[in-house]
Amino acid sequence: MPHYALLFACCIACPVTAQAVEMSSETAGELHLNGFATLVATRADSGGAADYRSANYLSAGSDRSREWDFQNDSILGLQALWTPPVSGVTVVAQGVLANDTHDDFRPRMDWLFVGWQPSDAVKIRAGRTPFPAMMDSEVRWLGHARLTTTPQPETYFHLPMTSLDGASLRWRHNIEGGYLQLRAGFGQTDFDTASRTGVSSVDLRRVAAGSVELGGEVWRAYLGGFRTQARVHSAPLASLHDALAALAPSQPVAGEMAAAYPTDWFPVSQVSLGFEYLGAPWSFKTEAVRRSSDTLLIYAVRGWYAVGGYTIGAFTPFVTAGRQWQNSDLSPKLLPSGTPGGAALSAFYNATLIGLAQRRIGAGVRYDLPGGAALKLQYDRLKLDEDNSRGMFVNPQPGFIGRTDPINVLSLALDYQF
Amino acid sequence: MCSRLRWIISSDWLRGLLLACLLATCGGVVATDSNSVGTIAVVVRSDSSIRLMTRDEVYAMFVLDRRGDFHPIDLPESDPTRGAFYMRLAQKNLTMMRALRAKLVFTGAGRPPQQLDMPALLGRLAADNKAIAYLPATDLPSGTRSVAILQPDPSAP
Repeated sequence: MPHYALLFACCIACPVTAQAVEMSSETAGELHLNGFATLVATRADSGGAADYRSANYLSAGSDRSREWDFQNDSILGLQALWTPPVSGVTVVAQGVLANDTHDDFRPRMDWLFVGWQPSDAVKIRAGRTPFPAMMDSEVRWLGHARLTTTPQPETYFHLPMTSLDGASLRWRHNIEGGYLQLRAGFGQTDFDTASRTGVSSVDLRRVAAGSVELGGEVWRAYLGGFRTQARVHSAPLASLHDALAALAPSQPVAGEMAAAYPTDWFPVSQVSLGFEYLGAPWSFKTEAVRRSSDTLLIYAVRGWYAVGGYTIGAFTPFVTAGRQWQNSDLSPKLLPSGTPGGAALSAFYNATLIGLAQRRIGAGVRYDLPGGAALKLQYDRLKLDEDNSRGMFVNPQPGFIGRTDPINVLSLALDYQF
Repeated sequence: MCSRLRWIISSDWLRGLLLACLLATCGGVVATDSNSVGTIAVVVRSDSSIRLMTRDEVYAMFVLDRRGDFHPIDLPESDPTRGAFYMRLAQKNLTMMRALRAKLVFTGAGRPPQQLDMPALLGRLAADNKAIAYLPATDLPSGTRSVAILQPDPSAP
């Protein structure tokens, strides 16, 4: 049975069978078991020229094309929250079953941390903790936490990791009619991700993240960011780097090209801004991100999205829009004629210069069902913005990159939590 | 335009799902006109140590899970009192409250109030002096007392 079919069965069964479990005893404390499931079906009219991948983990493209894609953002999550009989201490384990970079459903332990809250204001977490990178980093899995069928791609598509092995500190101060919250986190992580030459593995070390959030009863504003040292392992790109580096003493342009694909550590930083309004019946959220990187292993990108909805009973129609760019220099480079192997190296280098500039408008509706389920229907119209762009698509066939015709995407989601 | 329409409706699976959505509308979450419910009282057992609560304290207990050693209790989503309670307390409808609860639970930050239907809730209030719930103010059972009041908001949508 395909994994997504198993997930679908779980989604259908959940409203019937699943419920939060609570157990408590004076000696062992309290244990709470909760879960969430989202089944998303996506269809993009790319004419078979490329596969839409909106996934939380960007699939490298397994060459599997699916007319209706159930794997992109479908997810099943289970969480155990243990409150031992020690003041202020909690232990959280959260496992998810989701599509991974290799386009397979695999379980992963996303969070496993010990929290200590010595006061209402301060909370410390250590272990595998949520990566505090953007406004909704901690809840990007949760269908119930958003109006749209999937996390907003213009910001979360570029961040294929959700947890950090390290520690974080949260300080929250209540002020008249609102709150001020500061977060800081430090740690490391590693993951596989899609690259233009197949699957690459990425190490992030010395990740330092911080955020400031100011909120009231119906709004919140967010400013956050992180800085890290990154290293990317990709055999084809390492070969390209080495060949170009060997030519660098005699050909300065080869040195520039080699520097775009370093085999050593390099810095990456990101800042993001967000604002949310939740005052019934209106809701509105917007977020913008800017990531800086001097290499082409991890692009410098910018992106923003906005989504607004109006609730009428159990229905919340919404509209959404977003745009993303790469800031990295993707201009083609050529080694001087006569350079040994220069033509092939230039061709390889220039073939990697695939952008992701894209704009999107969309509309949809969320419908809340009794018993903890919600149905969503969303239509998006995507437009690739530049000649070298593949947007959020993988497995592009000749002629797709830089396509000028818009692409319609329809997605349906069933969310459930218990 | 016709070809796009054909593309959208060309899947049996999609047609089936849309039909399911249509049928499901019969059982959607109860839409509540907040003001169709009269005054709501936040209630505890008569011998509870809570004397009075401010609106901020009620918000902290029911929305932010700052419950201390008390036991907040929710009515089911289908009970109009629940929708009216959170609309007046937090300006949140049920869809928004689901989103907030999802964030609360799945960030390990807390847990929602226990949900009980009305008979079970009344039984729990009678049996537990740490229990705290909300009820229509005209309907308070004996042995309980009000610690906060939420009036209808004439300006609410």
